[in-house]
Amino acid sequence: MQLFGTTVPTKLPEVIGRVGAVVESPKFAPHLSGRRNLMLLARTIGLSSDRVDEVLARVSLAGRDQDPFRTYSLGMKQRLAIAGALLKRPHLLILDEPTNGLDPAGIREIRDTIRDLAASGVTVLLSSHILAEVQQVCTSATIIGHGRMLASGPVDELLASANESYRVVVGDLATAHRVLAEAGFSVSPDDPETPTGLVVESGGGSQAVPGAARISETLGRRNLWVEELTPLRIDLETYFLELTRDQGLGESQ
Amino acid sequence: MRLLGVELTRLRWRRTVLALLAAAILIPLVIGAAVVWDTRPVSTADLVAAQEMADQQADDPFVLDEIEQCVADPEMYGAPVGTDVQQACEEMMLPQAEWFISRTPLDLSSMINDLGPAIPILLVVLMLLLGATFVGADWASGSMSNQLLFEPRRTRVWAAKAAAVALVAAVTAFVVQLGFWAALALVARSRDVSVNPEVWDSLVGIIGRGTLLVAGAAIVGFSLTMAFRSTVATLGLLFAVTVGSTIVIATLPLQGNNERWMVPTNLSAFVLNGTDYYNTQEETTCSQEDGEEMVCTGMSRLGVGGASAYLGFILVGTGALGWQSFRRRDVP
Repeated sequence: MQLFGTTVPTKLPEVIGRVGAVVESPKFAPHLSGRRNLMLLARTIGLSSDRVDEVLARVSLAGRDQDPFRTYSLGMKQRLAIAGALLKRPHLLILDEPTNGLDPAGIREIRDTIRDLAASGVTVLLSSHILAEVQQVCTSATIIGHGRMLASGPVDELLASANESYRVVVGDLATAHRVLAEAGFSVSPDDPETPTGLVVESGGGSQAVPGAARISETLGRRNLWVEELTPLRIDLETYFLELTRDQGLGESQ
Repeated sequence: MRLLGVELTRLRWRRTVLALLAAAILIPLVIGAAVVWDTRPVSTADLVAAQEMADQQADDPFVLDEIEQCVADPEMYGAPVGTDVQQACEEMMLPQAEWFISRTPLDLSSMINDLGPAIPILLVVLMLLLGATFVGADWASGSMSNQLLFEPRRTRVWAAKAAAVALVAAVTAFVVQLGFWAALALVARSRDVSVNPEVWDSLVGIIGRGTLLVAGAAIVGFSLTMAFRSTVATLGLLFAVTVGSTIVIATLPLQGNNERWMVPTNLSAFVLNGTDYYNTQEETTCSQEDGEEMVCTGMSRLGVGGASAYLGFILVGTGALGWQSFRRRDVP
């Protein structure tokens, strides 16, 4: 495995100075203040207390830095951990489940911090099971299942590559259902009891002609005029479930 | 050196460490104060009180009855025959004032064999705890993994922490022992009790070897906790060794030399530059000529070399265990 072109873990000391990480829960000496915990880390790599002040201010802990770590809320502990990771001015920041156990305000604080860091040029690698969070915060995502990479790329492109779905309303639902199915679309009623429209999967965004245009064209050729055609937006979670549908991932959880 | 500085700061900021260092100063201080009090010069008031007690007991019918029996049969009481029997029996039987003054003067040479190893062994226990609790807190809080994100070379981290506990333990042991004996020497001088130059030579050796011993003990406590990753596990093992090793060693077929392999014997031998121990397969008889030291047969000598090898094996063994464990195992 290589990091910044250097083989790790054999040559990890050469690149560790460019990598910051918060792995699982924040881990600091509970009786020491946030400032003293960071001072010990800073001195390890020869940094001054000014740098500690900078990172404390960056994560908005400057007013509570003299308090013992054990008195911090979960959100404050997580922010202190991020401050510790930022001490080295990392090019890569690895965050593992950074919003675990946080209240909504804490989650928002951490997400804002991550966005600010990314905006300032830091590459943030976020490991999370909360895919909505990944979709909100990340520009690119890699999905791993059973130790294998299932998909990787910019989030927008991953979602665009998924099956596009539309809600279609026409006057004759039964005929439209049959015509679209014959044309190769995956079709189902929007409500099994009293359907008022159809859910049509157009087969992914990789096709040359957009899905909405092909549905409209197919129905129009048979004089079935579309009254409503609404794209059903897929999220990363749905994409993940589609991706892993046949692999049994998550069944035990 | 930078890492060593960080670890010394971490030590300084840990409250348990400060408490143990305070105990390392206070307990010898209390022992020293007790020695000074117990050896205080006899005052006039003490002599008067002792004389009163002697006079009071001299009138005791039991004592008078004993003197009468002694006069009647002096040989049975060991009184010299052919002299004034009455006077000889009274000298033997009548309570004297000095019988009621049990205080001995402050004599450093007679204290070396007891307090010489006692102070370092007390410090050994405290610095074992210091080494264990110092790094045990890192494992308990999980902050070890954080530290390794800043310095991933584990051997350097291990060495810096070991050096920090050894340095603090050594300085503490040196200062406490030096202060203890210097204070007693000053008190002795203030009481006009001279200190033999040979005593100073012995004390220099005791303080030097005691300092090494305490520093080694701190490394043992540290290394065991680096291996077990738990202060409680280290303390449990040390308790088991303290209680169990003496019992186990006593039952081993070692041709009467069992005591040679016990930890306290080796600690004393190391600090005192050698010590005598009982060989249980030989009969022990002791004799003492006038003005000479007591000579016993059936005793064996354990030199400082043998004790050093024994204690060095423990130090190197636990050190290697802790270092290898830290180097190879994943850090949570």
